[in-house]
Amino acid sequence: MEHKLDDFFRKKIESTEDTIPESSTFDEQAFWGELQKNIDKPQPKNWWKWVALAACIGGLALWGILLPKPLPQQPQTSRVKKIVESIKEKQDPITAVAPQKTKKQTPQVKPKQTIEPNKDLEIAVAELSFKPTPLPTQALVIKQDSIHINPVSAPTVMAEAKPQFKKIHVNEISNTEQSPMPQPKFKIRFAARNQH
Amino acid sequence: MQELQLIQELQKQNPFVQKRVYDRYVKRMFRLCVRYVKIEADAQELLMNGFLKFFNAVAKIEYRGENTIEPYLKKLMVNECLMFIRQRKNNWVLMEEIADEEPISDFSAYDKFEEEDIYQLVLKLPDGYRTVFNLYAIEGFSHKEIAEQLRISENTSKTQLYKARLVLQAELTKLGYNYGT
Repeated sequence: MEHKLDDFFRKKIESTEDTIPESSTFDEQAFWGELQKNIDKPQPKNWWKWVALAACIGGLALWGILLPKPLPQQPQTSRVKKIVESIKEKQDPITAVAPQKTKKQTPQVKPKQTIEPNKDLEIAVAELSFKPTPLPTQALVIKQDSIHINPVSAPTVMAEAKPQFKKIHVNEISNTEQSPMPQPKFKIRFAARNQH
Repeated sequence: MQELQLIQELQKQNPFVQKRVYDRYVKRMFRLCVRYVKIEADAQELLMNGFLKFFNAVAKIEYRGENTIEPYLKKLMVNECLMFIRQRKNNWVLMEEIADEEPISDFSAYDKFEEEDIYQLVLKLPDGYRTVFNLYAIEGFSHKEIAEQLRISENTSKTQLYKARLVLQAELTKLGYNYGT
């Protein structure tokens, strides 16, 4: 039942879809015009991807330049090490030729000639030598009279007159400063009479 | 012009060939979109997106015999419609008041029905029923594929299809009375 119904609808719909109903508002030509405009429009390019890529490359390059480079080391892989070791093992110690030591030709230096001091010359030098006599050192002494202050030229500083205080005993102050106790305006007095 | 030549010319962005392909398939694709989204304005929008994608991605089309362009275009359009439906978030609600009727065994009596009437019966279906019926019965998707595409369970897809068939059969019977069968 199911397949028959599906087949029936499929056939009918497939034969329908080549035409557009008269009630439809769809205008093929106008739609094509719109579509053509959109086809001709340049598609937005993913320029930002290229910018990001360039920035990454630039950053890496800068990083490579600015980083202090470690001393160049010859990379030795395990394979290379094995090859080197195998070559070392294969080497015949008898057939190995020791490298000839090349003698360095150093220029022949003449032995140093020692000049013995002449005694006559020593005396002459002693006579000519100048011995400076030490001068007596004098300590700088500033005499009292040497300091002279001109009273006219010096600016006059007027000392402020000190306020004169009267010496009073503490008890006197306490007596004078004691103000009368504030009294409430309305006094409530309680009186109690003794009945007895 | 054979399809291989058409594809080659399309890849060269030949505007005359573009127009030719457009004229050949526009009606069918428009109808397809309407069948899924019902509203003509929405269908036109989807049609525009579909054709643009087709003309821009034509370089990727692999020639598979004389029937290459239409299935490719159809697939593009269906995908566009499904994207639209997913965004719209269909309510997969079942209609309760559907009476089970005797299944129609012989459809030969219904052959004289106008195609347009049959098409309109499909359009009358609720969104969920219509989408699943279109995908399963017309496009030939499996329930698993429908479930993946619409992000629903397979059982939901099956139920929607079952109910859609019931509604269509009921409507066909009604229509039969109009036709005098």
